[in-house]
Amino acid sequence: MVYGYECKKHGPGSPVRVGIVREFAAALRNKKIANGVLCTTATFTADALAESQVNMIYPQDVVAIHKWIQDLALPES
Amino acid sequence: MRADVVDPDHQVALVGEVASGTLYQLFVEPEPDPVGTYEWIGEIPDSGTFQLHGQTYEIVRLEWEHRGPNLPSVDLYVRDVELFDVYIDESMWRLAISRPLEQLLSANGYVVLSSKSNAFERLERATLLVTTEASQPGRAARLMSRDTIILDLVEGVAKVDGFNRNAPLSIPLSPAIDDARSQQSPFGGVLVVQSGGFPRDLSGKPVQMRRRVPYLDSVYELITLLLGSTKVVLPEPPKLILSGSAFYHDDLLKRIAKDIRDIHGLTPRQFEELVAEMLDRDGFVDIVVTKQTRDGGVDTIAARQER
Repeated sequence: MVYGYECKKHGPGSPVRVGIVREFAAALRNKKIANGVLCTTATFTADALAESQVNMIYPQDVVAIHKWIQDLALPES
Repeated sequence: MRADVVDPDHQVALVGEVASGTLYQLFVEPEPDPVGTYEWIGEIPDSGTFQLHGQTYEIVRLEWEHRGPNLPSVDLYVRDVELFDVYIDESMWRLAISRPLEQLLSANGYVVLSSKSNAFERLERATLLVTTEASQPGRAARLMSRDTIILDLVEGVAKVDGFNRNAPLSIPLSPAIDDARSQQSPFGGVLVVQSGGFPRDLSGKPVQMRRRVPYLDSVYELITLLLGSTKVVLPEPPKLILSGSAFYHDDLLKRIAKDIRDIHGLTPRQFEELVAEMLDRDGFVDIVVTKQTRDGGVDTIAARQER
């Protein structure tokens, strides 16, 4: 299973907007990658989340990223 | 079909002749460029047909994207001809036509190489530029230096040895076809390759972005075919492979794990590498981090082995 990842390093007050999701979706289509994961250090707007769902993209906001890092870096805690 | 993303607030116009394979410029209100002989065809529907020069074109797909409040972008596909965006301006899209390799090969066009930065205004990276506009090399060079006409349509790099950096180099695409025939050719072609200033990966190898892989592959094939004997060296596909190597030490991950605010100290690139590292630790294989100079691609491609 191949995944395409897009990483958006945004400030806390700058959520990922729907245009970025569409852009990523288009890039995935171009590359013929079925599974997309959009990672950000911020959050997503409601439109962006809805668009992610439409395009089968997994949105990973800062909370999810944090948990992911914790799982990897602090496996015992 | 993405009719749901068509932006009803914008009107667009095509300029040029589809049949002769010239460039198209698509303008968006509220500030269409008032200069020039632009032919407005009104609002392009998200599906159906539109008329241009007495010919009907069937729209296969029209995709709108928004890279920012003032950076709309559109991919337009009509039957038999693909038009797509290559450059976005606040008030203007520059479109070009892509054609199958066979059509380019049968065209009487030129390969134009230049590393002169002001010949490619606004292009900050090494870029492979292709247009199907029927043009003489001198004209192509003039067009390149003009802000209002853009010839690029695909991205990539080509390394060229020993050519004059200050003068565009023109190479006929199809030397067998003479100029007289080129006037009649419906598929004029120009390939423009900018050399120098390659983005590089950590090991110093050129890195390129492959946004439109199938088409770019055909362009590489074309250039290799045409220019293989003229010391044009096309770089290997752009990859930065993280073969199990750790970019970040445990302490950084642990520090961020304890306080997520530390993640904001990373650069965007470092964040990409951090995610790649996490994928690596998570058991993903074949992790490839793609270097990008502009948004629109996929940062990282990774595979998970089936268990």
